[in-house]
Amino acid sequence: MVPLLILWLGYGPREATGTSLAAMVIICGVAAGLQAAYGNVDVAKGVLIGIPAVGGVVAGTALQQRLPTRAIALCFAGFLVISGIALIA
Amino acid sequence: MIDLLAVIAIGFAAGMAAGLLGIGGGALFVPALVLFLGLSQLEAQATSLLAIVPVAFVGALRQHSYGNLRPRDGLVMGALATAGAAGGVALANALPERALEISFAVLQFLVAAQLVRRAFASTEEEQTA
Repeated sequence: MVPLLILWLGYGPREATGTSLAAMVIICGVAAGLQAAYGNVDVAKGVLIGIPAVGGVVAGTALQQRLPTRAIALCFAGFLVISGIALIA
Repeated sequence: MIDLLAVIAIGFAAGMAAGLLGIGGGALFVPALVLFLGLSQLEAQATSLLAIVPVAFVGALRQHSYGNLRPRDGLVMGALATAGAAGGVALANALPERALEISFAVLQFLVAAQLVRRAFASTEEEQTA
């Protein structure tokens, strides 16, 4: 979503990441509910990894405000390349 | 105990990535849940979705406080993506898995190249402005 918002809709990198997170609440909320109906969700382990991640996202968004927008876009591009290589390796 | 510490560290790192890049953090959650907490791949993917919800919610709230959120666009995208997922699942099941992996990776490389090009182009515009 982030690159599409930047490249197609002209969002700045910070707006794109913020709006993407908001959309993800709905998408992952619905998907998690469906997976829970199949009995695939381990709530306790989700909480165990989710709580430190909430701390991380607060730190990450604060750090992001101090970075130049170009650095954010380049970090995202780097993330795409690494995960693309991991996908086909 | 070491496994628990690893999960906490990876969870924090996934949250940092979510805050910095606007991703959910599932790319780190899933391997951590499999390797350190003994879940199957399917259970880890499903549990990762649950863990992403509070992370994305808090991240979106923080970005809102910084003035970086367009709530209406986020809601529309979320609703459309949820509907589109059904079509995506059907398509993904119709195609060979390797074809999906390669085409998705190629798409990622193309988008990354566009982002880099755009990042440098916008800097040049700022400098010449």
